[in-house]
Amino acid sequence: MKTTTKMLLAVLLTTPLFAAEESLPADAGTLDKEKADAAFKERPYSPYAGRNFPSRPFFGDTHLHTSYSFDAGTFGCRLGPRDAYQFARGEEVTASTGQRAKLSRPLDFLVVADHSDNMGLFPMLFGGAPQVMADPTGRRWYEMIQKGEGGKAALEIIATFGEGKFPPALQVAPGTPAYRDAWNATIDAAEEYNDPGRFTAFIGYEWTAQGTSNIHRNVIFRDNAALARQVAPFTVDPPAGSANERDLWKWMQAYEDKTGGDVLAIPHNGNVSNARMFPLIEFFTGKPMDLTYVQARNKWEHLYEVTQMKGDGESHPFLSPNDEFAGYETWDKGNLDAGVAKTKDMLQFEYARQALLNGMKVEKELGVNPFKFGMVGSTDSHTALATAEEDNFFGKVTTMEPSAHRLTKSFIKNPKTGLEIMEWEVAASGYAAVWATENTRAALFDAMERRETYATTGTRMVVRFFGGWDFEKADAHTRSPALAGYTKGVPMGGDLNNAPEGKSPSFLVAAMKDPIGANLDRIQVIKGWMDDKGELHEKVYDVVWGDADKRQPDKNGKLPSVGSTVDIENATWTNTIGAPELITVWKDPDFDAKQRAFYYVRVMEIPTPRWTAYDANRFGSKPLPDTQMTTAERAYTSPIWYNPPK
Amino acid sequence: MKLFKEPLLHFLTLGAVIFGLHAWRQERAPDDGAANGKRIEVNTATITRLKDGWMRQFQRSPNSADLRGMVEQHIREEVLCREALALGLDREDSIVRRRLAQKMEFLTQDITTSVAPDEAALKAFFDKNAARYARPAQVSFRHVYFSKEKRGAKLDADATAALVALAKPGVSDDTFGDSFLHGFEFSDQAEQDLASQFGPEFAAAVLRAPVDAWSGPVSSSYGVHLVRVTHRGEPQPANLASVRETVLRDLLEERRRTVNEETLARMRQNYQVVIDEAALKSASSDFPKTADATP
Repeated sequence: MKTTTKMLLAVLLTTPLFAAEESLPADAGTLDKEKADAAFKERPYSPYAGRNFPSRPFFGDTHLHTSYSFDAGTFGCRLGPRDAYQFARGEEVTASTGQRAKLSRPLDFLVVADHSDNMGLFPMLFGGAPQVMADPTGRRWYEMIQKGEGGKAALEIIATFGEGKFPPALQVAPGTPAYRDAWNATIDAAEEYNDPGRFTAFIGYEWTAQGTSNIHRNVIFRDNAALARQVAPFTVDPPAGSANERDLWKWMQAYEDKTGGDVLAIPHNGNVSNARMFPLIEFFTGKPMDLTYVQARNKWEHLYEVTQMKGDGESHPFLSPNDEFAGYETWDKGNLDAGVAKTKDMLQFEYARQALLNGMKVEKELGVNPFKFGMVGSTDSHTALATAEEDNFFGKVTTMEPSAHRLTKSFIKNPKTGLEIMEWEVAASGYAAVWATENTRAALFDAMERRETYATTGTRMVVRFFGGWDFEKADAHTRSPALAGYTKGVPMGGDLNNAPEGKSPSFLVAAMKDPIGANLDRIQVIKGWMDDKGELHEKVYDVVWGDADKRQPDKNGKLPSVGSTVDIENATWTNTIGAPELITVWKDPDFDAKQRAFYYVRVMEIPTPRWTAYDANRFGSKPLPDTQMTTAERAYTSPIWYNPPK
Repeated sequence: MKLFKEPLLHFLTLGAVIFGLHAWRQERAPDDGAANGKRIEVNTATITRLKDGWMRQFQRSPNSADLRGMVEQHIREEVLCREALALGLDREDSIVRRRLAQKMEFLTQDITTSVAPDEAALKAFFDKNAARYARPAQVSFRHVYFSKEKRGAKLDADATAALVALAKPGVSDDTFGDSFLHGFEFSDQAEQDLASQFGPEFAAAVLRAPVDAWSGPVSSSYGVHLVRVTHRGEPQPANLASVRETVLRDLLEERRRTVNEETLARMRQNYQVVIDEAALKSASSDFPKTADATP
């Protein structure tokens, strides 16, 4: 407890904020001129009073599978949730293939999100201890266990049970919690490893809607075991379960109504959903989304897992032909099992940027934006190992843990369609960065709810993004830019409303490289907007970049490439290009106060060796032709939306 | 050898096996309905279990139609399941096998961990792993940052000049240096905390920096820093009372691991394990004749 308070204090003291007695608003916070002025007047004399904004991002994985997921187990995963939490906390563990594994540095949080099917198990034999002690056999077993002869006791108990000779006194009475299942075991593990202030272990699960067009969601609990145990994860099989996302949202509502708890859902892999992730026509009805659907989605899904091992889903070159960095780690051959090939017309319903655009259109028609989501990345690893770093990548499934063969093996091959995805195409991505006030379930969850998050493809760069009406160049040069950011604007995930007459929104944007990673190439602001005719547009602005003394946009406005220092053969690079940090204030030069818009930031790293290059180097294995051997890691922030007057 | 690849033979063999299993089952199955016979009983216990499951998923009570539906579903599943078991379909299904193996592991783990370790065991484990629970060295400090990006070649000179200026009494550090996203004041930071924000070299240097005096320049992943340590906490051994929960968790985790291995090893003694080493060798990818078979 004392440590927690100290940690919190440390967090609070690190960066100054004025902001009176109020802490950060529960929702991302909307800012208009009046509110900002009011806030300024309340500024206390002491710069240390009332400061309660996040001063550092916490990195984690919201989507990790362990052996409790039947598919992970089938691929040979032997590690359970406890191992997963130990590994994420930075401990060395033995992977399912027997190799020692350790992260370069601990993660701050983890959600074990196993597929949610339930299993009943044997009685908990020692449920009622006095009963056990009163019975001579029970007592003997108890003592054996105490003496460290647990294995011997287990064998005896199992044998007695199997022969039906179990002492009646030890039978568990009806009505007691006689069965343990994977869900309770998952909850137990999260409770044991949750260490407020140091490491957060969330309770969660994945709702894995059947069928091979991916509309899966991870459900995360703000709550502890007492609440989570009151329910069973929502499953897919009827009659209790359903493959329709509407029913998942009903389950979430029922959970909150019943327990007073708090849950959120994060969808992922729109890229293998074959047009079902961000629909305009609802799959189950064949009709345009109605208000009920749109409201529920807006309420329950504030985040989208935009990058992970099965491909990156920020943008697609077909949808964004003018974006030279669109198409990172793209998986666009087909649906989840490559059983149905992808067609171009599906892409608009699969990628985040287009969904953000379409969301504005729906909002204009129905008054609510169904796709008002912020960004996180996560691994979706099925190894219980949350690895997303290129030089320490343990693959998507246990059979893909490091070996001399994974450069040339097939990952999915569908004989029906002839589609094949190779293991080298699996991406070492990503992590979720959360700007929370402290490292606890509550603080992290609340930050996720207000979308104050960004996705990374595995790097741990620090990214700040604030929008407002009054940012000036000088704000980028103050010693504590975050102070200016929170006092004059809203952070990533927020809203700007009702532009003051004659003003354009300005943005304070900053990034620092991963302290043990590569330099930064550039920061880009990506703007999407809807014009007066309802047409949707997008534009990518380079707003600040490294090597600016030698590198300026050409006459067409194109910024030259940062270059590359990657030595593929030796799997090395140097930080001799790019910049360790970038900061600027950018004002939208094309703003129209009548038009709905969103802005988000993409930060590019300089090129580095991809995991395939490390593999080729370490195993001496030979990659297949066309194998991607370099990468440019990146971060995507949650958007800031501009909402014109109604 | 060719014969074994003949689909007709496969078909006939499979047919014979199914027929044999069926006949064997018929013989064994008592007609009047024990648990694994032909009687499917939906009693209070079954209904309670189905209802509990429903309520945990739907979070409301099932009505009569819901219950009837669940019962029908249960019967359907039971019939198919028994038929499948009778045919031995569980034997070759990797999901079923793994799930059963996992249940066995859960069972043995439950047995060990349901008995709380006594005080002596806890103490012994704590003593053995004292280093794991000790609090690492911590520092509280202020710093001034000089950006490599902004100052280029002047970086070290600027920092050194500021160090001289800061040595004078009454000078505030607020007016020196550049903006820094993580702020300028840090409390009770362990080396690991610092490494994750500044890089490992900086973290190591700050832990060794003098107390109550500006020192540096110290390099980080971003530029250089002047550092003033305000407090240094030496490493401290934990006392058991304050980390009890954690120690208990770790001890149970260790017991779980050992008991699983132990139980498996003992159970294995009940089996005669025969491995066809020749077949194993010839099936291996590093067996001379089949090496480099990858496309």
